[in-house]
Amino acid sequence: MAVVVLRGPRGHFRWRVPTCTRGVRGAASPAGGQQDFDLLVIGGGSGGLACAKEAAQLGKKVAVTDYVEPSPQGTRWGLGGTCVNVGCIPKKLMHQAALLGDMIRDAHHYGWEVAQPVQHDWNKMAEAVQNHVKSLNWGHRVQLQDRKVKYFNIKASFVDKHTVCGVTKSGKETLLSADHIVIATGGRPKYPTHIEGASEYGITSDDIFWLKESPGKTSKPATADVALECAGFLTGIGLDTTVMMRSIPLRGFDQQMSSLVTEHMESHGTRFLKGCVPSRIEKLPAGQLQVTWDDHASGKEGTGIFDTVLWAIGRVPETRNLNLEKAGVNTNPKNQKILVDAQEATSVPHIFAIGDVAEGRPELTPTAIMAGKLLAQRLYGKSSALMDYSNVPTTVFTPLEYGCVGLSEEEAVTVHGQEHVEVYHAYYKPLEFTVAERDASQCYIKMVCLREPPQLVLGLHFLGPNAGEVIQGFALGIKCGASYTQVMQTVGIHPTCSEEVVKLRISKRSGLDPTVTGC
Amino acid sequence: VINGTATLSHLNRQERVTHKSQVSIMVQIIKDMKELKALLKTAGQKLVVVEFSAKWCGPCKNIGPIFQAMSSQYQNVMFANVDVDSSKELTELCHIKVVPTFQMFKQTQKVSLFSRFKRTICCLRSEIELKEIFEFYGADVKKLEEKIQELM
Repeated sequence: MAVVVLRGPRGHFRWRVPTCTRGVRGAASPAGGQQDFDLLVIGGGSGGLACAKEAAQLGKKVAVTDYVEPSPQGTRWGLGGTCVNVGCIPKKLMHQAALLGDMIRDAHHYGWEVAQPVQHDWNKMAEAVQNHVKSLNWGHRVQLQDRKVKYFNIKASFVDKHTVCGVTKSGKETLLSADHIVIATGGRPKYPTHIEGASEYGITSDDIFWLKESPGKTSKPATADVALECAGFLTGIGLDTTVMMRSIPLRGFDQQMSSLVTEHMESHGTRFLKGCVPSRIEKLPAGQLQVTWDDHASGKEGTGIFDTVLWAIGRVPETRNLNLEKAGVNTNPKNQKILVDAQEATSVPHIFAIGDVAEGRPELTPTAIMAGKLLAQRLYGKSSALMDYSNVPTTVFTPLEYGCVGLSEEEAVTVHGQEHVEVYHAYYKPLEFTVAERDASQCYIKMVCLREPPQLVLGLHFLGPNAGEVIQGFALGIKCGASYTQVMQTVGIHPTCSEEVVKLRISKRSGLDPTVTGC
Repeated sequence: VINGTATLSHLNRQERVTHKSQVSIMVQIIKDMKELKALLKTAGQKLVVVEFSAKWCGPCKNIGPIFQAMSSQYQNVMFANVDVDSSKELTELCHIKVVPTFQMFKQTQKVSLFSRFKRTICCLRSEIELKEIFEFYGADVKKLEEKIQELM
């Protein structure tokens, strides 16, 4: 094992140990030997790319490694991470496909002569979605080239705290070293390994967006928002979909809003099996899947036959294969996520972690991107601004969308106490639903505020069409410390669903009826 | 090099004979810089038009068949295609940022005794002056045709 002492760019000495995880001498095999950078980013997703590009823009020598381990079903994808390939982007496009189905059904009320029922072609939708995703993979590659960021399509793992060994698909090894390292490897869907047939026959969100054939009749053991979103659009495009839940849906979200979300889905065709846990999956001779489950409510066993089983039971961080111990980076033993401080630093001062892989961070693209940019600016741009993870707005793109920012009602009560919290709420009917005779029973808004004047707004929850578009603007208001008084003084835009937020007057405490009144 | 050219035109004639009833597809697929350089070498004095495209790109799908039709229409122009996903290295070397991008090449020939002498002796090892004379992106059929006619 040769050790080379070298002078770094700033004149300090750095020990470089040219061995790879398999004990191969660095100088011997990889083409070009070891490469040295100011910043090495492991993971080419939302957080990783944002950090790398920002650092490059600040004049640093940056490298990004990205590698997609194929799913158990063999699915793989290009540069861009989860959001671009198997998350936000394809999900929202398929959600849109389902919404268009609803619009086609509404159309005849508005005078359009549309022949009903209309059929949906999965292949056509999947191809269009996949083409867009591939154009984004391309765009990211071009952006990295433009900013002179070196991109390696290799599976990286630590050799020591400044050195990483990367392996290509064909087995070729490269050594990379850097002053600073950012881990942004994200996460992958969890498989229930203790359930017979789970990974053999089941798929996850990694696979659903890349299926060449329609998933057909789908069963979805689920807890997460991903589960409901997928179930939502599958039902929307006409597929028979069942969601199996052990306990509560949308853990971590406001529970009143979560049950309204599932209530809407149930009344619109998605089947829910509550209090049920799958015990095994078997393949039938004709090719379909037989799912057996335990019904905790009745104590009985149930079975069903499906074309597809989609697991959406949570995600695990991609830390297992990084050899973090070689670098001395600590993880939370319960969930394997990397422990970080407010600066996004790990237990090793020059190694950082951002995005889904880091402990305690929201699993969202915009927060990973912003954290990545701020980190680069702190490291290389003389900034000291930290990422603010409070009041992060988000939206669940279920058939009836749920957008929220700030605290849930439960959180507000826990933090401030029931007597200090005032909740204003209202049911409303979107104008567009009236002519189309659509059911608006779950269109609901609630604003969680402090009781003391001027009644600071702690959280806003909106269930209805275009929830993401509605909540974005209000997130700014909450960031600026808006009070209920100011909300009342804001004039609404008419006719919109958004205006219902500024028209909130009935509090839960008053006991008055929050249902729709005339215009 | 002369052999290469002869073989190529022999193949072309062959293709034309066997596909008399069909449009003979004469768009060469180029995978890497080595193949591009070889193509430019065989092109000699001819204009070379290289289309950089992607399977997921809508405009590429639209202009693709038109490009192929042009390849049989303009017999003294060489047409080639590079898939940006299958040939990532070549794509990067050619600085492609958008698809479709069309790059046009023409070999520059310095007519002098010295260069002719040099060519006969070491024509197999001489470096081709890779002169990209025009580039544009976007599926603009009219522009493509105009430029080909202008430069050929």
